[in-house]
Amino acid sequence: MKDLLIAVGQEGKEKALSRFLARLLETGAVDGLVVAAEAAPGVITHVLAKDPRLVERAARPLAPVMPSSAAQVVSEVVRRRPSGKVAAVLRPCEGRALVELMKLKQAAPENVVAIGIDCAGTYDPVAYRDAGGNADGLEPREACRVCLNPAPLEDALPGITLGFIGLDDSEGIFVSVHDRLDPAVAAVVDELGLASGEGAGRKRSKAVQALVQERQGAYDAFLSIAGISGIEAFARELAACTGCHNCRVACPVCYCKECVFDTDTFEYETGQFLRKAGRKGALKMPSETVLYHLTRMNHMSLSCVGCGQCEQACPADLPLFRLFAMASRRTQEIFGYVPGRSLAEELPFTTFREQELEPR
Amino acid sequence: MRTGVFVCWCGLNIGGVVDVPRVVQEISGYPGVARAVDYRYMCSDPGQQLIKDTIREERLDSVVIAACSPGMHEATFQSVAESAGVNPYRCEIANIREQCSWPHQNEPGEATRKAIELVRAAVEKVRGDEALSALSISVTRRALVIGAGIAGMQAALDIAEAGHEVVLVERLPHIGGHMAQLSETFPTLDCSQCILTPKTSEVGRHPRIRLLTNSEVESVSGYVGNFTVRIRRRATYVNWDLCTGCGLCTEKCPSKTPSAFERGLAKEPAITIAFPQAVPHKPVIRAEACRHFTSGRCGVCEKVCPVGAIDFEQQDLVLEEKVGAIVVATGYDLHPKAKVGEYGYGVYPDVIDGLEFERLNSASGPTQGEIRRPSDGKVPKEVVFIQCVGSRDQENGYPYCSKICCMYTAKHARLYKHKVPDGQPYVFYMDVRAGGKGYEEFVQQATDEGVLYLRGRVARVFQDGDKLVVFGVDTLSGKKVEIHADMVVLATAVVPASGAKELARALKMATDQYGFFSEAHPKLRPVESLTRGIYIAGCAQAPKDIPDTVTQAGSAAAKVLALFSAERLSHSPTVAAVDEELCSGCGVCVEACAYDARTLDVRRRVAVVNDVLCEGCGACAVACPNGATRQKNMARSQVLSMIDAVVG
Repeated sequence: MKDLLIAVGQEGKEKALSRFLARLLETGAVDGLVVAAEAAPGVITHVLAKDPRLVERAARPLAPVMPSSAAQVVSEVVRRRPSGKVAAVLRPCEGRALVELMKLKQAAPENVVAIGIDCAGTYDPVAYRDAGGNADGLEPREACRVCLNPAPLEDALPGITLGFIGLDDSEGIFVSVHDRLDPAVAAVVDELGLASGEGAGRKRSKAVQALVQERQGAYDAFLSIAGISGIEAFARELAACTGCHNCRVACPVCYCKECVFDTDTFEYETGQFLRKAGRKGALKMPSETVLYHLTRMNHMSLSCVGCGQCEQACPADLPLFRLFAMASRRTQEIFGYVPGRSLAEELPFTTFREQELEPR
Repeated sequence: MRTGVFVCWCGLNIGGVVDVPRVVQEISGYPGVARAVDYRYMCSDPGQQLIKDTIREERLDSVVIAACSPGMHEATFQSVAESAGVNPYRCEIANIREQCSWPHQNEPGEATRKAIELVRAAVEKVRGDEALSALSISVTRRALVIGAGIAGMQAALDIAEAGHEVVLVERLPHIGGHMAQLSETFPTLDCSQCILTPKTSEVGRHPRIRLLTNSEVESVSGYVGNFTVRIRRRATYVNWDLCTGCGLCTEKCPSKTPSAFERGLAKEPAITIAFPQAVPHKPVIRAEACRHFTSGRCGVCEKVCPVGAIDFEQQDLVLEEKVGAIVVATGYDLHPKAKVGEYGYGVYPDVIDGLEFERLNSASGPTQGEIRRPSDGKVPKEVVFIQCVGSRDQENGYPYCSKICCMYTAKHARLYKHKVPDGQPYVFYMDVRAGGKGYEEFVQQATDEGVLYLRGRVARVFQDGDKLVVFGVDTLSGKKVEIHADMVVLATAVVPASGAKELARALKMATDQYGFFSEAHPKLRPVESLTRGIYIAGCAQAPKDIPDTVTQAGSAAAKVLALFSAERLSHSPTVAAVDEELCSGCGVCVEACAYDARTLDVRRRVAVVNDVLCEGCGACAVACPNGATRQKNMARSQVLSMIDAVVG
């Protein structure tokens, strides 16, 4: 790891960052850049940028909304016959989700230059848009308020980490360069002749630690809210589900080409429906919503990075983030697994160790 | 759909608990069931006839047999169905015995309810079953035998004699295994080499046996009938094609190193032929002991060799062989010195193990067959034999019985007595296990000849001057015993040969908790492994003596020959299959497969199935998140319908 510093001038952090990102494209060190940009006032979207001038002008790497996870965007770009190098600006949760997708062979690690970035939290994109892109008076999303990973996990992918937690503009933007960073990108960073960022790095880590400590309380309080235990309570929480499957679409790690719940597996015959309805007198329609959420939980709880995109996408406002946070904390604990921590760490789902389920 | 349901009473096994007529009555009206009947023994000839007749009368297209475990009679009923024109893979078994009447004997009402549900679920499953046909596999009629001790040699000879080629791989430079180290064999006291050498030379010259010594199996891929084996032939540094085995090199070699064949009781040159009758009769250089390799300053062997066979530049060779069947005959080792940890073994030179005693007693051994103790070459006048060292020892060793020690200890004590008539052998034993033709008589003879058997354990052995003091107890007289012995011989536990675990991994074979290879069934399939096409012979499976080993080796050969008797093999078609439209190429199925049957087609980003490697276990189908992998005749929709049928 090499610690450096990008100076921030009058134009502010976001512009300084955008200029840095534009430089990667300008020099040809990368072939494309996935970054957030403003499409219309208050409307943020990811773009796959080729033109460095556009990046310098319109990129919004610090936009406080996450309309979709950049992990999904990157996966879409480097999944089929991957070639070239694509850099991507990734919030901590996006970077971790991308690592999980890479383990599931949904993105080619060798074609991605990860640019992790500190996250100050995000707002509901609709509220942000309605406010014309002005966040004053908006409250961050619940997932962000209790997020314990405001800074990227620097070892997860061989890239660059950009940090600003605890640093004001005059102190600049902290840059950490991974030892195995793509050499062409590393050369660009070298050329910039950035100052050492050791002091800023220390200050930032302290601030990150303090922030995590502060949030730990909020996280514990959030999870300790009782009331969801047993299948009946679980079903009650999900009673309003309309079966739209938006949560699966929004989930950055849910990767199936076609969800089993969209296949004909659950296309019952009339007689089967009637039999099921007869069992308890009535059958909730659309049917199998509990099974759907349980299946998603079964497939995803170990890889759940707690981004809250499922809840953000839910038209019925189901407490999906809470349900997944409760389940995943337990399952991840059992296997000592931290999703997105390292590409080398095998998915517990695909490995077997004799003692893995014994109490520790 | 027209399904017939056949409910078996299995005498009282099922009928004594489950209300069979009620099951028949309940299932008769179930959708798709054309006819339901019961019979006392469905597997009997009249029972089978009943099924056939009903299939024809009712024009059935599928059948459900409610009876015992499919492990017992699935094949029977599948062939009954097929003979009456129903596809055998549209025959389902509802196990209402092992999974119902037996475990629920005390709750007949509940058992009947469960039986009805199990039958309903089977009807639902058969509704979704496709008509499949068995897969066909070609057979390479060539066998690999791993290990050329008496087990491996016997198996190789039997297979080769029947007309098939055999690749016989031996880790050591020579064949014969531990039997080559033995002096005499029980219960006839005939010379081991004398009965062994006809076999070793037959193996050595057999036109259909390809003998690869100084070689080890590195990896195995493929499946029954079609294995590909990679074998590493270690460098011998001698060109065996040129070498005449004259032995001049071994005479002149200036390096001396402890001989493994002599169990360290003698030294041998760094270039050596382990024993006079060795097959092949060619030397190898042990690089770690050779001056040329350690200091670069010798080349005596190269100079004296009349044919220029020494080749210091020789490299390991990796060979690839295609075979249809494999016999694992890797034999045993004795519990290593370092692990015995008692009786001064490995500390006092005159405390030796059974194989060391064999060498002391062997005419070609370090003492030319005279019983002389290792420390000072004196003829021992009192020798204590201790049985069950490491065996039958829950705390410090292994709980199992090593099976051969009672007999060879009796043999050792007798041979000692024959050679040292004024000497006194003592045997400490837990009990004497002499089951076998002529065995009990053999042990009896030992006591008649003056061997003193003391029932009890030895507490400890320590050196006192040139004596070994043995403290023990004779539980029959209840007295403590103290013997000032000249030598102590330990019957140490028989353990799997070193490297057996690694080989098991390469072959994907199961081993038991001690590392012996697991047979498919302890009684009914004792030479077959759980992997089709791989068989086990000799001590690789469990400790056994020479007669048992030879018997098992012949039996393994018979299994191989039965396999080779068919042109093609059939394989169950109920394997995994991939819907490529649904597959995301995540590779979870590849990780889930224990049989290497799943791979990723990286270019197309889809997972594929190697049908003949697939055992149909379903692990991949379960791991696949969206059902892109499905198990033929166990589709998710079938499973959901089965659950529905059980839940009611």
